[in-house]
Amino acid sequence: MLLEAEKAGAMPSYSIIAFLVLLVVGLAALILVASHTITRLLGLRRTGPIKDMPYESGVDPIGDARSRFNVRFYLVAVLFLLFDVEILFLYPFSILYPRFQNEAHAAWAESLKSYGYTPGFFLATALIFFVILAVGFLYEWRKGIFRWD
Amino acid sequence: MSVIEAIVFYIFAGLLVFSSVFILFGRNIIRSAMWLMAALGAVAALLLLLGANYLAAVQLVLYIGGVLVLIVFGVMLTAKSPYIRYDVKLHEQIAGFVVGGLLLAGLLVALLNSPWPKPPGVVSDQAASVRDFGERLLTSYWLPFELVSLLLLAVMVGAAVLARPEKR
Amino acid sequence: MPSFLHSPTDKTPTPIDRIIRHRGIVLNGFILLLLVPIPLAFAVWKLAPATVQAVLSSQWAVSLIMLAVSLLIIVHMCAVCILAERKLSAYIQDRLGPNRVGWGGMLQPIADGIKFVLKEEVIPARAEKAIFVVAPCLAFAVSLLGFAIIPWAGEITWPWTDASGNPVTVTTQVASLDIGLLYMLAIGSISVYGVVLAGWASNNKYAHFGGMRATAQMLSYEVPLGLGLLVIILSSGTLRLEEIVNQQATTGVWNIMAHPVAACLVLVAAFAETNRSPFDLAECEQELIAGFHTEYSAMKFALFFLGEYAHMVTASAFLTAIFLGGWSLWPGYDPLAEVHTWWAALIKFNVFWGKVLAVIAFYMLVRWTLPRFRFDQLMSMAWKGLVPIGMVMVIIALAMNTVGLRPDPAKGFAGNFAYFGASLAMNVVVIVVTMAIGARRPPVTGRQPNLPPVQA
Repeated sequence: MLLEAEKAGAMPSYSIIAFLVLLVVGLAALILVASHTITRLLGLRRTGPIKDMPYESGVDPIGDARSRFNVRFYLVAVLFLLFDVEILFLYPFSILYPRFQNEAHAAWAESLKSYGYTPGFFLATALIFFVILAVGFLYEWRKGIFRWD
Repeated sequence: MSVIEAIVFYIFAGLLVFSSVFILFGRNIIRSAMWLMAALGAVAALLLLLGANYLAAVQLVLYIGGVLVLIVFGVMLTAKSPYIRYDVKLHEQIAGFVVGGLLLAGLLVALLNSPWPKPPGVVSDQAASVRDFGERLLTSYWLPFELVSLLLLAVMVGAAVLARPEKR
Repeated sequence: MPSFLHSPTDKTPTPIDRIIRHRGIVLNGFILLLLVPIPLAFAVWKLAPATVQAVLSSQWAVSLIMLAVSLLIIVHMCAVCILAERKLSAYIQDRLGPNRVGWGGMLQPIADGIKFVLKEEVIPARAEKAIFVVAPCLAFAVSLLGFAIIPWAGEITWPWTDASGNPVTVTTQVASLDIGLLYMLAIGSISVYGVVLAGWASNNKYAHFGGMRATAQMLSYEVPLGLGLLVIILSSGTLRLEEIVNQQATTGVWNIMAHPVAACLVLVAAFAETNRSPFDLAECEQELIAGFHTEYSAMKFALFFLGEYAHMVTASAFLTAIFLGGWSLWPGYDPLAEVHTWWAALIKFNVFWGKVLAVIAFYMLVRWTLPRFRFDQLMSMAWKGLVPIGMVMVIIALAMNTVGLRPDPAKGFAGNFAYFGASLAMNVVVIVVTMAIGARRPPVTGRQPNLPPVQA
């Protein structure tokens, strides 16, 4: 369906993005493989237990690096996810709402109004959504979630 | 459905199945997470092929950018051994098969019994996708939209309670 | 020649110097680069005008040409930026900087590239080998995806007509996505993986901590980025980048003039997303050696390095398109806004890149001027500073929309003055209130309040 739309319309969109993804991934792989072979061919290669040791400022590493870390990093990821969902849900609203002010879309606004969906309804829906999440944000702030000390 | 589109569909569907199999049978959790990234990306591509480009973007931003980071962090938080591997015991495998089978059966029942609307021929205006989504979301489905915000609030409170900084 | 480009007198010529000083090489290079392509293009144009017209009339061909051109510019820009940054930092710190290779150090990036290829590749023991190799590729590849939706020079209407006599119009954008800005957010969120995987796969404690920090920072600053963009979308009513640029050009109100606070939010978020100083906690030398790429060497390190600079160039291009009017010449009345000839497109293309260079220069000046944040300052700045401001700005944008104050591309600068003035006034109020709140709090210092005072 999308490809047919691209054929119908003059502007390539996702197909050229797909091409770019292939190109760029191929480029990265090529650089890596080429440099790997050139390095093998031209450069010295000496390994040993000491040289392969992780570089931790000259101190022999103690234990394993992949140790447990502070749970707050996890919490940041949770918070990011929550706020990102909120913002993403507001994106469709934010491209619809300015249309009510645009004379070019007067017919569209009228047809929505005839079903009872006025600009005020749109605004109220989005504002309730926004305010509920703002309350959540303030709660988190009061709880000290954003304190890193 | 054109030939090119069919080819692209099968490529991404194949990638989805391939990476899902690797998620299942991989022994290293982080590598499984990477295969999950490929699987989610393939799903985003399939959504794009259906013309649902807003959903594809959401899939990329939320699932690959958010949920997968959570999974990776979760694995890093809990795993103790240097090489994060896991061995599945027999009774766990049986339980997994039972749960997966039930899920598959439920999905099949839903798939076979629901009417599938024919897609409208050519999508002439691609910009309609995000706009249509927004229109449906804010008119017909405004109540679920508000309920989502309550759900998010509940998750926020839950996160605050679970990961409260320790008292001093 | 400015003094910081001067070569010292005791200079011993490097091998590359000996090559480039050779007159034949200089002459041949000049001929190959300048004197051959232009007559060649002219000859092709004269010999097969129909073919050239057919190719240039196809949007697909133009998109592919623009893809190649912008990809080449960005990759070369990385090399130039690395050299420029080293020169600029040297100038700021009263040093000479690289001045041995080539004319005043101009060929240093080539020498760097050769060095990267010849270095030995070390993979530390017990590193997760596959992920260790994939991570830099991921970082590099993802950073080269964003530029595809940037409208470099608007539309071109060719001087010829098609078979039915209609004018032929193509756009200089590689791909026009209706989810434009969301695509940009998606690229930003995928770019986290290169860092977190590199940190985890290295089996090095410093790399691990650097990767974790970078991830938390990128995730935190994606929220103010989304809020700042939401303000712009609420005022322009579209997600397409080319429409945002067109609107800025025709109304004469650049978004940075009408929404300076949103511009600051996105600028700061862009700094944090690209891991540039003052947000380079992931690789601060004093604490973490080099952060997530501590264990990387040779070409794998170069991929990270190139990826960082490509990310910076792309982020600057986004900032230019969204806030600095894109290819628009100057705010107010843009004489080229409605001119779609090929020479106007060339001018616009150069104007766009000029603005991008200015933003990059700003990036570099900030990096070598400001000290680094501490991690708790970084986090509290994102969550307690930028996110609340962003929320307030979204509410203000909603209110402005409700009372009908939004840009109207049909009118010029005078017709949009009410929108511009009201928006600027609201932004100034927000800035003043924010600064007042900030001034009431004690200044942020390195000292913890619960520590005993320092003994003299």
